[in-house]
Formats: sequence, C-alpha cells, structure tokens
Amino acid sequence: MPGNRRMNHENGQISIDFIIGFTIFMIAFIFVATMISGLLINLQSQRIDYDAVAYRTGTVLVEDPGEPSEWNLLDLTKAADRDNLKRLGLNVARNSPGILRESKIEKFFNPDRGGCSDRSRLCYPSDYSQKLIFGDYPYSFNISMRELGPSGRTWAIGEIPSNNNTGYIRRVVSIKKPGYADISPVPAGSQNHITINMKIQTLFFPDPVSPSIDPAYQIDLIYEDFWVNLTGFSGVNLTKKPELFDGTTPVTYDENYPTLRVFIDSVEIHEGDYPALLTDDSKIHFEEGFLKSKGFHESSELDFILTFDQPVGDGIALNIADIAKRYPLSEAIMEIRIW
Amino acid sequence: MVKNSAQLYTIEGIAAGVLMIVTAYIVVSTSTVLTPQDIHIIDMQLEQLGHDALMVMNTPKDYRISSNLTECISQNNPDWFKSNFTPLVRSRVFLPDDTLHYNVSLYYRDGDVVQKRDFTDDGMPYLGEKTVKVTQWIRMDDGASIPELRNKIVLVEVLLWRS
Repeated sequence: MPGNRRMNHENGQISIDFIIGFTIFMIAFIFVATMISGLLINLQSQRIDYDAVAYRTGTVLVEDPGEPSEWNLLDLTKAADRDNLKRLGLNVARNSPGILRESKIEKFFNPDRGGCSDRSRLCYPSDYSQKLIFGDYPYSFNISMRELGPSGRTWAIGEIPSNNNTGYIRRVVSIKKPGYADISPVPAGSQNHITINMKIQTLFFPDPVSPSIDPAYQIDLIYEDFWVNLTGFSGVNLTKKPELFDGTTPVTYDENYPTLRVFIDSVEIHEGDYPALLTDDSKIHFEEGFLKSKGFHESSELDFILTFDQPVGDGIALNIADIAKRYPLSEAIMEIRIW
Repeated sequence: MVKNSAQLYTIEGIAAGVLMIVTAYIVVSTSTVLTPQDIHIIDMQLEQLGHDALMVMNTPKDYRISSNLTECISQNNPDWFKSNFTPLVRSRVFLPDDTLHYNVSLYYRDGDVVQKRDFTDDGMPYLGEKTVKVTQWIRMDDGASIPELRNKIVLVEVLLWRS
C-alpha cells in the first residue's frame, strides 16, 4: 500500500493552493477593509470639517480687521475698490482681538440680498463665500449676533440651518461704537458762532509724553463716524450748513457718501433748508471716511464753525479733545453655523 | 489512530479565528478613531468660549480704567464676577441660555510657593464632568481687599463644564 501511505502523509499538510488562495484573500480583505474604514472616517468627519470651517470663520471675523483693514471705507460701487476687498474681518485692529468696529458690523450684516444690483453694499452670498468662508466647497452658513445689555440689538445673515449636522462656534466679543461730542450754548453768550478746533492728533495722543491710545478706545475722526449733538439749542436757528476750514481754506462737501450731514428730528437738512430751526434732537454727522476722502489724516488740524441766529458762544474755540467722548465697549455674543 | 481530516478543519478554524480577530480589530479601530476627534472639537468650542468670556471681562470697557475682572477680584466681590461672567458664557443669540457651569480659583506666588485660593462658583457642584480650563493674568495693586493678593500678579483660572 505505498500509494495510500504517501497520500496519508500529504493529507496532514496545507495544500499550496490553500496557502495561495488564503493569502490572496487576506490581502484583498485587508485592502478592502482599509478602504472601507477610510471611507467611514471621511463620512463621519464631515461634521468635523464643518466645525473647522466655523472655527476659522469665527477667527477671521473676530480677530482680523479684514483686508484692507478699513474695508468699511471702500466705495464698493467702484470696481477697483470692490476688487481690492480681499477679506471680511470685523475687528478694530489686528492687535485688539475680540473688539469689533460697529460700522463694520452694520455693513457686514446689511448686504444687498436681492441679486446684488445695489453695488454700494456687499453682495450676499457671493462676497461672503469668497471673502470670508473661502474654499471651493459651497458651504451654507448662518452668522448671528446679539448685543448683551438693555439694547439687545440682534444681527443675522445666512440661511436657516435645515438640520443639526452643522459646524458651530460661539464667540464672545466687545463692540466699539463711534465717538460723539455734545455742544451746548454758553450762558450769556456774545457770539453767533461756535468754533471747534479739530487738532486730530490730540485724539490719538492724550498728551505729548504718552503713547498713542489703544485703537480699541480711540475716537477716530478719520476712519469712523463722529456725531456732534446740539443740546439746549431748541428755538435757535442754524443759519447755514456748518463750515469746515483747513487753515483759511474752506472744505467743500459732496452730495454723496461719505460727507457731512445735519439732522433735525432725524430728518436731513439740505442746503436750501437753512435757516433751520433746531430742536433737542439736532445732530451733525461726520460720516466715516469723510475727512479721509478730503485728504486729511491724523496730523491734520481743522476748524469747524457753526453759525446761529442768536448769540450762543463766547468766542473761545472748543478743543475737540476736550469735548469728544466715547461710549464704553459693549459685549455681544456671536454664533456661526456652517453646513 | 491519527485521522487526516481533522487537521484541515483545525487550519480552517485558525484561519477563521484570525479573520474574526482582524475584523474585530478593524471595526474597533474605526470607531475609536472618530470619537476622540469629536470630543476634541467640543472641548475646543468650550475652551474658545471660556477664553473669550474671560478675555472680554479682562478688557477695560473704557480708556484708563481697570477691567471688570481686575476690579471684582481686587474688591473680593464674587457676586460681581458671577453677574458678569455667567451671561457671557451662557447667552446665545436666539436660543435659550446654555447649561454651562464653572468654578473660579486664583493662583499667586507667596515667596517660593504657589498658593491657590478658591474665589467663586456658579452654585453647581462639580461631579467629575469633563472640564476645560481657561486662564487670564491680572495685576493687583496695593488696594486689593484680599491682603495676600496685594501687589501680586494673579492667575485667574476658570474650570468650565457642560451639565
């Protein structure tokens, strides 16, 4: 029985076919299993990707002033200015993270939502996806903000999330509001005009030996709105539009933004409306970028003259640094959702 | 008497066992890869929120005044801290407030020793939840109410967790 004995010996061994087959199977199995696990990670990490984009968007908005840093002054009706806008950040300045400029907030949350025919505003959603969210993937987003405290103002932009699978980040920020000045008549005044000497440098440097004021607290006539409130002038007429002089050279006003505007009871007073009877709600608005558009800068010195029909001043010029005031920073919550 | 057939079955059994172990390993490793990343993101969100809130508290609201954080610790006023910090970490824009809890400790050097002093909490006991830690440095002048903190640099540490 030699043949049978030989067969019995071989039966105890693994056949070469089995080894080859098993090896091929294991390689294929490991290969497929590896691919499947990678596929699962990709599927599961979609949320993580959204979270990362939300985090990045929050960082750009809260810690970056944008590019250019004063993008809120760009005239978006001009193609060159619109092209110049690279990134939307709301921050006051790069070294003041978490402090947002109010005018940037207003511009950011008030775009043209109707097909972008209004070229003076940001275009929703294309400007936001290209200059804030970034990336080729068409992310949807919702960004909202609420000011804490009595005002409770809210802002929101974007779509309503359709499900809970959204990337999310919540940030706590401060809001810097523009500066203002209150002017009142002088008792027993002898002059029909009040002059404000605007030595702009004095707003940035409180005294010659101090460093400049942190941008978060600067009253910035060049880059921000500035309001002059006329209080106690009820019954007095403003005889002509307030005048601004660079030395002895009068500064001309443009009709369009940015310019200088006078409001009485929230109604704008135009050139033909003078003399205008003042009430307790009378304001002069230096629109942000107005002085910059006229070529003035931090070292400029101007005289701002208001002329009335009654003696309300004493002839002594007011210094802008003495009368300009700032609002304290307010706090706000910002939420960002990406999907 | 040794039988041939049982040997092949043994090999199949071992192969099947290896296959099951490899499968189990892949399944387990797939699920364990994902979980820490999710937790990391949630930690990061909480840490960012806490850091923001503490930093906003440590930012003076006006030029040449102290921050609320400095003032409430200088005056040893935990209620002031709570009335400032709680809305910052819990408020949401449109939804009801979040359920976050915290406790606050102060660290300062006393000679060569780092001392810890409990400052306040939000009233919720810590029951071993996963926390994140956020800190801010503040400078105390010689008018601080707590004598040990006078003229010291103090580390304000907030432990923050979600219930």
